[in-house]
Amino acid sequence: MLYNSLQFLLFFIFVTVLYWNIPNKYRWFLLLIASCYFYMAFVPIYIVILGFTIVIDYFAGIYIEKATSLRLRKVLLIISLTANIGVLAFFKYFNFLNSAFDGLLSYSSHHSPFPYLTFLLPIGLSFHTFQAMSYTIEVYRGNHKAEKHFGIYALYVMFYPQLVAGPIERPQNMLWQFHSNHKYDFENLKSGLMQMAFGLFKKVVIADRLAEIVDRAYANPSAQNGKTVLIVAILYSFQIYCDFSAYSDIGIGAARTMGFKLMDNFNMPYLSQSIGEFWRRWHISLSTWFRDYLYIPLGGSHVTTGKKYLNLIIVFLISGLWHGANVTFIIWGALHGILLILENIKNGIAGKSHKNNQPPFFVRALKTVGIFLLVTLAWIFFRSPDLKTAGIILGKIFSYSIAGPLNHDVANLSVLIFCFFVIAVMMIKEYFFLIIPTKNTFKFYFIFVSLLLLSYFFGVFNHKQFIYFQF
Amino acid sequence: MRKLSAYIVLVVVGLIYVAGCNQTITNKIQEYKAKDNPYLNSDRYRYGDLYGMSYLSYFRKSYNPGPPIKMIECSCTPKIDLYTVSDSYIWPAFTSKKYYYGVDKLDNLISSHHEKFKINLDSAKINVLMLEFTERNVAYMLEDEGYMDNILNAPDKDKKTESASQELNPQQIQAKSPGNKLSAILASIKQFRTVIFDYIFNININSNLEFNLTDNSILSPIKELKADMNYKLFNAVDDNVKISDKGDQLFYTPTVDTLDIMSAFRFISDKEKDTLVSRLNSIYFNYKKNGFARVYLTIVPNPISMLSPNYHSLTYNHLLERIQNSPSLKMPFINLLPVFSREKNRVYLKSDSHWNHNGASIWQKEFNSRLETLLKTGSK
Repeated sequence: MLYNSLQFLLFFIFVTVLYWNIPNKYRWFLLLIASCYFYMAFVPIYIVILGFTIVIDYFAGIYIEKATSLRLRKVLLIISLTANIGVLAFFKYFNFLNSAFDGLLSYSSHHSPFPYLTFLLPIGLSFHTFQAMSYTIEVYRGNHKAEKHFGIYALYVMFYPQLVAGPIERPQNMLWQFHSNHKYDFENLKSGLMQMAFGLFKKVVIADRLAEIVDRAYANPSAQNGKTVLIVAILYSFQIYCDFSAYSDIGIGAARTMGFKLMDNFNMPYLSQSIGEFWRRWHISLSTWFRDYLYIPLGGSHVTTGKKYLNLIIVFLISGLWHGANVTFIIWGALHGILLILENIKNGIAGKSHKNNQPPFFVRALKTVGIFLLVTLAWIFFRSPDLKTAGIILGKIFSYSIAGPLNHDVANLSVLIFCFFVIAVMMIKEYFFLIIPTKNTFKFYFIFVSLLLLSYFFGVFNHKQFIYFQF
Repeated sequence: MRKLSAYIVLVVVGLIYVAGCNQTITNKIQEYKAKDNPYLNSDRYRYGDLYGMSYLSYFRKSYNPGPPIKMIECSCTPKIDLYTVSDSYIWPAFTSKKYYYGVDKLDNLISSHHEKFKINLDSAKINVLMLEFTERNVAYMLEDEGYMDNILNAPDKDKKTESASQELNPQQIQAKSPGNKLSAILASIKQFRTVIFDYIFNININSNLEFNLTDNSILSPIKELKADMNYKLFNAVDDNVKISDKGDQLFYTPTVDTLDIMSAFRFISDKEKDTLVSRLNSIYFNYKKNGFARVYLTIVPNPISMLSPNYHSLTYNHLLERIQNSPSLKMPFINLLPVFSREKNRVYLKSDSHWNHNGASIWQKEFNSRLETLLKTGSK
């Protein structure tokens, strides 16, 4: 079920109104049924896969807690992780690995004996798999007690506002909330609705409008000139931000209307002055997941410099692969890893003496622009369907000529002016108010209704999926 | 009071949702809205199907379908049984045998992938099959194996369909082969699952809800305001619609998009064209063999092929001409190209992907002259 659809609007109203009008003890059940329905609205049968990992992890959690020997706990954790990663690997990476295998065998004039899978990737698989893994790891580490209530555990994995594209939550933040008795709070409702409305605005007015331009250019990159692809690359940076953060906004807002607080997933990432800072502001729930469950267990920064850099590269390569089974995602991850290593080396050379000195504004502004452009270049690999396309786009950018005309088949001037205007408005809004204040009820209604009207009149409603659904 | 309001919201929202999920209810609502009634009027098709997709106000004014299609006065004894396998150009307009010369029985068989054609021939009559495609659907239909299978098996389809449905009926399987209980149970589960999925997880729910909730003439001015603003500001129209360079004619996007199988600008090789011709011949010989006196082909030109073949400097594939001019084609055809290219501004609507009544009347005249000749010669 897409957040930017009439179906979701009715679903949300029905579930939220019912949620506040039934006794607390039945609410978990309502949310679980609603979440199952929400997920099944995409491809019903895939609920079985989700159910499989939920059952495995539920029992793994309980038995890990009960187990007295460390060895047994480790075995149970490995079983749980293997089940999760196995499902992920089978559905997401089988064809990729099979194709690589096929390529290898082709040197000896043979072909892979395994057939390619033809079914669709279960939606949001990487998200709920990672969320489920965070639970068993936390129980294994003793940071959280195993959840005894099967329904609540299932809800932890399936809670509809964050089921398909995060934020990837932790048991410490969510499980207690499912056990709590949420009291109706009009302020929460207003705040949640406002965040949802702004998310909808970002998705349909900005992201999907930009998508039209970007898709046209990427459909035929050879026909574009340097100026056009440079502008398109910049626009894609905002498209993916608005698309993904809109999903998070609507999800976080929907949860808030029912009294739940999900973690923030974005914090103005394009104002970062370093790649490290960018990753503390972009997709925060995934970055922290990799930090806590991969980077630190590998030794983190408390190892030799060489090992630390190796750890960084491993984390970013896996992060790339997490996004998709394609070499373009791996290169995207590798680029970020390399940039982060270079940044670490530069900081090491510069020493700690500069740490406390705030550079002047224009230096900070230049750094922000520089980091944005580096991130934008990396996004080219993320967006391109293959390396050839990425190569064409980069080739055009680096042979950029200011004299070249803009390709008006991709975007006309008025669309570009509109897009840059709404992006500027969004950035200013987010700089001053990450969440629009809603204390004043009159202002709330005015801004809320205005956002809905603007979304309707200037929005693109073509049932376009959120980019991160594919992951 | 809060509780009461909540229950009212739940009931109303729930009913709207259920109606959107249930295709039967939605179809009823659509039928009701399509009729002229004081409430819940739909403008979706009132001013042309492309207006209903784009909602550009300019095209609301320019709708003129032309004079109604005439019924035929015939003093002859009707002897022809006419079967038409056609798409939306023919079947909604030519609903009565009175539109055709000397036709005693008319059976409109819709060219849908899911329709099973059922033809029971009366050997005492002159049986005629009229196979009609729009230019955009020729490759789309003929390259579809399901369509070809349906149409090639149509003359004796009845029996096959019956036996196939018997195979799928779980009770009958159980009765006929007691050892095959598992298959019966699996078939029942499959049937149950299909019903449940159709009712609860209807994939058309969003378009159904959009139609049920917003397709109302009262709301059309708001939709027009949005469409006009987007067109004027961004030169953007609905994805399904393309607008002519002069801004006075709408075209259906699949007929323009070079990657779409329906496109008049998709590259079509000679090999692909030959395959299409060969499939037409298979249909022709199959029906002739099964007792049809005549099998006629009509391919109705796309509006864009006639009105704007150089749209945005794209290369028109001339598929219609290439099929009709192919020396291999055995099926007789009603050639609309000369008259349609001459009368191009009269035969299409500005805001519809179909022909108008003028175009339909031209085809009717051409086709009826064939029927008249046939009746006079008395050939079977």
